[in-house]
Amino acid sequence: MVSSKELLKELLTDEKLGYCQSCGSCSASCPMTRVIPEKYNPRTLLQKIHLDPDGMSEKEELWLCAWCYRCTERCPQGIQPTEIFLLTRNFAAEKGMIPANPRRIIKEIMNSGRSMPYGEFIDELREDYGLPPIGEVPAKVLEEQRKIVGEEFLEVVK
Amino acid sequence: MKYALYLGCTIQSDQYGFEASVRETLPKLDVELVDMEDTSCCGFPALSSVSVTGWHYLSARNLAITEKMGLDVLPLCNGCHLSFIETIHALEEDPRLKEIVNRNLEKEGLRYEGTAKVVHLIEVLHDAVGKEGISEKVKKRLEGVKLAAHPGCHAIRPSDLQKVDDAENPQKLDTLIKALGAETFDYPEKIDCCGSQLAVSSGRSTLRIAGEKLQAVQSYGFEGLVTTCPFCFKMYDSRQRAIRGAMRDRSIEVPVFYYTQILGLALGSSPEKLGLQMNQSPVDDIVNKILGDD
Repeated sequence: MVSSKELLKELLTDEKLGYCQSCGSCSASCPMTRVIPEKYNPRTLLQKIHLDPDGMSEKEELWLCAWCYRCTERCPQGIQPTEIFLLTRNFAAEKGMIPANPRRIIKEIMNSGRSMPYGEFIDELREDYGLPPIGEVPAKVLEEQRKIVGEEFLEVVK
Repeated sequence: MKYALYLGCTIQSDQYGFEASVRETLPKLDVELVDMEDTSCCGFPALSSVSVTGWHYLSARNLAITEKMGLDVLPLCNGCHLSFIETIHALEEDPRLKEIVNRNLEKEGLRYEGTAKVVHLIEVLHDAVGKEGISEKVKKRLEGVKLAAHPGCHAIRPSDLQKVDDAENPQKLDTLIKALGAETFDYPEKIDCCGSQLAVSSGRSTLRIAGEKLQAVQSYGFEGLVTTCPFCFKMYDSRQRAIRGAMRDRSIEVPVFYYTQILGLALGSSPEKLGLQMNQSPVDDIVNKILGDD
């Protein structure tokens, strides 16, 4: 497994996040900041991650990005906040800090190969709408994805 | 035009209306869709949030299946589309990661080289079929219907990775709406996020994000909202009742369509074949208006 800490370190260097001018284009473009400004602000979050990536692992705000990529699109310094948030989440996850909802979805992906539960009823419904059956994801694939995501990590998402 | 059709988890298990309307309309425009076997989740955004390596493995696995088929891939979902685009980029940048991924793919006789191209539904319709290609097949023009375009974030951003359409001023979905004879115009909230990626964990906040957009769309006189993304659709269509509650605004009433559903109506397909009975927003009046007297 490629270490998220290693990847994150590259993004937090002086040549990357160090170029942030705190202009606030990210926060001004953020849909979550618009509705919950008291809880979520990408500019502040970036500063906190820069100063103490370890200390952010348990913070709820780390999981409040809606992945709209507007901050990344508009950052005049090319900082890629979305990428930084993603890797900081990975970093937190490696230490076992995963909120209940993503944990539930990941468990589903690991068990069925899909983010939504599969049952025969799905293919029955699909048949009603004239759609071909999808069937189960082959067991071999599930085995491989467990290995690549890491057995150790799977303990975390159990 | 021939593509491997990648459905993704949400469409194949939940958004039958989108899939049915795509299967109904694209062949009419001479686009051949080939089903993929043994696909799995693309890994975005839940798995990517906890394991970037696991995410790229899953994405690359699906791409490797299309490479084996010798076809370019059409992921119907905006999320899967961007997931594939990101993976292609990541594996190009990081040969070490590509090696890890391929070592695992080998075990099922697959190999990822990065040769399959990822195309978006908007690109297939706008760039490959083209507005004339669509207009000439239209049997029932959608005259006098005002529809708002909502391409969705993952179709247009980040622009350094993909160029489906302009990130700040997308126009292709508008062109496609106009090709059916319907009206559309720009509005300030057009490229706003729907909030669906956090819909389960931060319900109230995201209902407000989506609600503000629906209120705006309605205030400009649009009679409906058109998208090609299953997540945006679920947010605006299936959660519209919850949005009304969260916004404390019972006047919100916006019919929401997949582009392929209105395309199908224009091409003469029946509402049933386009899965319109599954839309939960109030689409009936517009459908009847389009169908007219017959």
